[in-house]
Amino acid sequence: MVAEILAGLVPGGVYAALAVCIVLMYQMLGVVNLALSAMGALAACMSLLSVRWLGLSPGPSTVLAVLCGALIGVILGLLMVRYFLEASVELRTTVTIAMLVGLIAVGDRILNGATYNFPNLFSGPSVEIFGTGVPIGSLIEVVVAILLAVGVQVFLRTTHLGAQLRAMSERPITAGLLGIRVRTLTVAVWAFAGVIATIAVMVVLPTSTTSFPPLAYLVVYALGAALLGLMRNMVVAAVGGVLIGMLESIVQPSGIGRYTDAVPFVVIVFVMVWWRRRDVWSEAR
Amino acid sequence: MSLFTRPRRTIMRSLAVTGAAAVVLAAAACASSSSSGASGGSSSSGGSNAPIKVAQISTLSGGYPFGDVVPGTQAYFKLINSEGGVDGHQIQFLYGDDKGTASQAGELARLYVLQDHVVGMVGNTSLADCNTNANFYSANSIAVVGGAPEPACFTQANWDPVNAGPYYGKVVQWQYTFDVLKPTHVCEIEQNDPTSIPYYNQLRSWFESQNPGVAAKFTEITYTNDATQNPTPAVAHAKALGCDLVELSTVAPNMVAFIKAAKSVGLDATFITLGSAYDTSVPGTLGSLGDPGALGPNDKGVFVGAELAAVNSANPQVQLMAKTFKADGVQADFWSEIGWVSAATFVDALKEGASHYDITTAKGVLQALQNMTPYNSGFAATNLDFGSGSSHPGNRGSQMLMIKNGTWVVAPGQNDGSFETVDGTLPAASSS
Amino acid sequence: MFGLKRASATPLTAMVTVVVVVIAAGFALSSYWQYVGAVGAIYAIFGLSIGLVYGQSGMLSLCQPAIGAIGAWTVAYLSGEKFWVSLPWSLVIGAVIAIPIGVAAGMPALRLRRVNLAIVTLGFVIVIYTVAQAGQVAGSQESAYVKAPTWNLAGYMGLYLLCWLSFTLLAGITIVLRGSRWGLAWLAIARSERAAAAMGVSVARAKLTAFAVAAFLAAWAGGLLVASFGSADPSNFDPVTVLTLFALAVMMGAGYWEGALALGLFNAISSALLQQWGLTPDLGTALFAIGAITVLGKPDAAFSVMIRRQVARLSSRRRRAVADEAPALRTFSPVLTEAAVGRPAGDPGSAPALAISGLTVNFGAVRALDDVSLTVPYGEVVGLVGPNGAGKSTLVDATTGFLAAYSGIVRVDGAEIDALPAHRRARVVRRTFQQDRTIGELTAEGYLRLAAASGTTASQIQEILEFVGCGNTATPLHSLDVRLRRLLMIGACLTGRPKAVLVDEPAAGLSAEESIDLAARLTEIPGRFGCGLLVIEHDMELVRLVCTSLVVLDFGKVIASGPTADVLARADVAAAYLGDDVAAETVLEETAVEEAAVGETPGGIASADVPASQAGESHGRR
Repeated sequence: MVAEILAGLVPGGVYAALAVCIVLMYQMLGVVNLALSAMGALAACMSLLSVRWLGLSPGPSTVLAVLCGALIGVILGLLMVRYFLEASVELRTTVTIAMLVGLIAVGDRILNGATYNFPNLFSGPSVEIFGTGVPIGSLIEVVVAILLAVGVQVFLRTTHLGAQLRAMSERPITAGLLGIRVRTLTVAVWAFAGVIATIAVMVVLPTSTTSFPPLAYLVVYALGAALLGLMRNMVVAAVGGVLIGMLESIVQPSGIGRYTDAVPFVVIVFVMVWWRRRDVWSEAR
Repeated sequence: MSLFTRPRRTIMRSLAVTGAAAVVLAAAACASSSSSGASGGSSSSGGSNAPIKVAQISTLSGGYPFGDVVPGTQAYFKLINSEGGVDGHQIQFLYGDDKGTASQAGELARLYVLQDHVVGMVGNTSLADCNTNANFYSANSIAVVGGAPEPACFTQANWDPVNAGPYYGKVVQWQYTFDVLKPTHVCEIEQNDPTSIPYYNQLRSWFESQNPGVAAKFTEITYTNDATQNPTPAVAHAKALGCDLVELSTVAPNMVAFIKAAKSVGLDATFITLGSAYDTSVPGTLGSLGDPGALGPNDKGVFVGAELAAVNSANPQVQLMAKTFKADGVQADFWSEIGWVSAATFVDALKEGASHYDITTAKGVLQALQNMTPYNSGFAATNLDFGSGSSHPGNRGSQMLMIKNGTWVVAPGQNDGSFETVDGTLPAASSS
Repeated sequence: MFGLKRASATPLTAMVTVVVVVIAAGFALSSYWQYVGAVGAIYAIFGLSIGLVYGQSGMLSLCQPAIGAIGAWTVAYLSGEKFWVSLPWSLVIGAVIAIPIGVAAGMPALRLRRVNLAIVTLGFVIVIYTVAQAGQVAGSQESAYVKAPTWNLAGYMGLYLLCWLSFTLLAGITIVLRGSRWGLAWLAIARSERAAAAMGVSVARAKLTAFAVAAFLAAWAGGLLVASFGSADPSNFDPVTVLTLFALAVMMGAGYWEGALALGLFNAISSALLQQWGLTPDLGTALFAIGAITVLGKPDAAFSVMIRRQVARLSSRRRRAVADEAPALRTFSPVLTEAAVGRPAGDPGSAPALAISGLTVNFGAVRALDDVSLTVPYGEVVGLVGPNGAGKSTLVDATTGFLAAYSGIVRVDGAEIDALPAHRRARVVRRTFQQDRTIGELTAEGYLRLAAASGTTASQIQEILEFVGCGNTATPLHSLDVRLRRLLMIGACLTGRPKAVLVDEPAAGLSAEESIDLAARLTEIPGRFGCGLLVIEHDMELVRLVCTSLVVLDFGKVIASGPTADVLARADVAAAYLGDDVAAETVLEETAVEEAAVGETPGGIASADVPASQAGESHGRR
């Protein structure tokens, strides 16, 4: 049991990092970005292609992938800003669903078959904990995800830019009228999320297999974690991500292992029903 | 937008929509009257020099891709065509990717058979084709020679697998494991495939009854629905159980992921996998992890039960394939081998039957295959054969390979020369 | 159901005509294209299912096609050797079995909305896929084979017929339902759940019926899929496929039958063409994604919307002539003075239409209403006035059941209604809203029909339309002007034949002549429709013309009540409005004129009556 729980740190770190991004984007931009892990996965594919076509070594190809992640974020962010700046949360979220479908179509073209030599920058040596080896990369990811959550929240509360972001999230139009550069900040947050998602996916990539859709679905697990934080608290979301990873890895080898993918759903339903139990009417007067 | 304020734009847009629809319909009309496909070409059949049109439906992307089977098939046909074709007929080869989905597999089958009028399917290696198109192929007298990743492919009259398949492969794997590798505790990390698990369990009971003492050493870990989930938890579980040998049945990238996960978790075990993991690039990817002892003192190495002979085998037929692949830039692995061997079986049967049957028709092709003389191609443990039975078991052995010095070599101790074949006859699947 | 024929006849005829053409064309197609066409019909039915829940009912649920798995498994199971239930029947059985599952899937929609519902349904899609792959449910194994029917026709014509006849039947059902009360309710909840409940529509029932019917449709399609592809392969319901269908439904506007039809044909034909050209199906998927994003940015670009506009354009000339006949505004007849408003010869001992006693409402530490009591007798118009934030709308919310907690008793016609939910209270007391909560897509007649109490006849609806002065019953509401929509909101209340009607600031934004016209109509209501009327207003001219008595609220307390003239003369009433000792009448008159001119929205920025873009601003904090 202990082994499985510790093994859960591997996916857990990914979920934690992604969950922080989901909460951040929801709070700052009013969108539930269901295409988040697909963005990161597509950028990670760029590292693979750069190794294959340009012969880059792991270090530079990873850097390239991260830059691609930022670029993908910028492109999608510009799309959002151009056409959906004043749209509702659900409209923007629906757009990310369409983006997810499109990204999977592209990703499937790249990841389709033979053994891959993914740049192995992050996994590698392991640390023995209670008799089980945990990849150092994953441990670092978990810690970084939690620190990221704390850091972002501190940033938002204490810095000027953070105040601007918070103003933008509450009242984008008013913020714009006050001279806050709403479009630039929106695109910046998208780019930031792209970078984090890329790194998160690349940490787990060498130990997972090479087809695109499962990487794109990582976001559903992360969503469960984000909901544990009630879409507000990034630190709880990060910790929740680790917990979900552990839960997944306990369930996977067990008798009900074939239903592992249902784990985030159970979390989601449980949280939603409890959180929204008092909602009777759809909107304010 | 009000209709009355911008009428012109509305007209333009509706014209655009109508125009697009017209283009699509016209294309459909044109496409329906002539054949097309990956290699393009004209229609018509019959005639003394008409091409023999064949097609392949394989899973080339999606969750479980068998990417190289198409180049393998193409390489063989290219060779044959350069030598004059079969009985003077050139082979025309079409192929499509079904992405493992029933909808694409079903539509592609109807496209090739009903529209393009192919006379046979060669090299089909797909997760969906056997289930989806079983009835369709038999209703249209279409013969299929291909690689079978699904149990359903082994139970049809028109489908001949050239590989050993998971059942024979499994039994061979167990044989070799207990006869040669002699582990103390085996963890079988199995994918949860609901159609095959009942038969697997039946076979295991049979194997255990034939080999007393084995049952105690077995633990089965069912870890996931598909090959795409993180292997770390299963591997950690295996470590907790104290296994010193792990049995897998998965594709090469997944096996590599398992071994890497084993390294990071600290699992000290030998790894043995079904032939689906045979890929010549694996030793390079694993690097030193592939060597015996890399994971610990219990690690006797990384083994694979290649269902067709290893690419670097000395057999002249295999060498021809290796040479052709190299010249054409085809990656040599289980899948490209399947493509090649399927094409070879198909062509050899047609060559033999050309004088008796009209091999430019589907019926003629089917008859030629059903009546072919079995022969040993050197690729498989048992003879290549189609036959007229109601099902075809494929070849009944595997070639056990292990990684040594950065390449696959034939593993020692096999019971049939360089192959390991099943002792005895497998029990038939009981209906349950 | 009356009016059903009129509402559904044209789309039904159009749909049947198109499908007959498609079926006839099938005989001329090659076997392969018949197959492709059959699959197209199946996707079209999936489109109907998605369109019903998302397009018509406005619920962002992603899991409709996945519920098709239930139909697939049923058909596969029933087609096995043990059972042999032949195809059309196994489809029906599968579709029926899916209904409770659809209802279960719809339960989260009762409490979750919008994004939250999307998240839960996305998880549900993955669960269904997981269950499909696990293969433990009967009929879900890949090896359960089903044969397509031939019906003694050549090629795939049998399957083609089965699929297209299925589409005809199911599209017909959705068209008929769309025009029925169920369909009207679905449109209503898509626009505003509160308005729907205020009209007596049970929101919960509307949502669950939408999910139930959508499940029926999807399961039927799922069963047909198995027939076409031979086995219940899980890949038919994998998340990407389901989400791609959703994207297509958005792109094509599948809420209308022609959008669903376009979805099916487009999906099947593009897939076939890509295969023919040797291109990957991923290309099609990527195009659908782009198409969906385009339509989301510009809803006018949805295929079915474009079609409808073309059709509307063709018949627009005829419509314009009709639209010009707007009836003239009424003038306020001198006979209809305050004193002469029809007081029924009512028995003084009988219960008043509406009696509120001791109503107290707290929002946290803020006391919005403090022990408020008022009475609205039958046949009278009572005014409720007070400065901004006094609690007037809160009172209406509490009375009509839109507040979770309050203390006090509300009686309608002597009976206590506090235990009833909003849509049940709507049987006896109706209200309007400050904002425009009419349902734009409906015609005036359809809107009134939706709000009508059961048993209301067509002529009664007609009478109310005439009373309201809406001559134009065929135009959708969003094309009518604000004044008419306001009146129709009131008319909708009246069709419910309630005992009491609460009208919330009906004159806001109206010109002087329009206010007089409104006043004329309001005064008629109690006498003509046998109810009591409560009017919340700032326009003191209107109040003095229409109301026999007045209740003044300030900071949640009743500070004055009694006959209108008396109350308006009181100094403390003037002080409440202005904090001033100036003579009440003249000052109040000036204020009323100013407020009417500026069109100020009561309640300040916090009120929901703000431009749509601002309303979208405060996201993410729920």
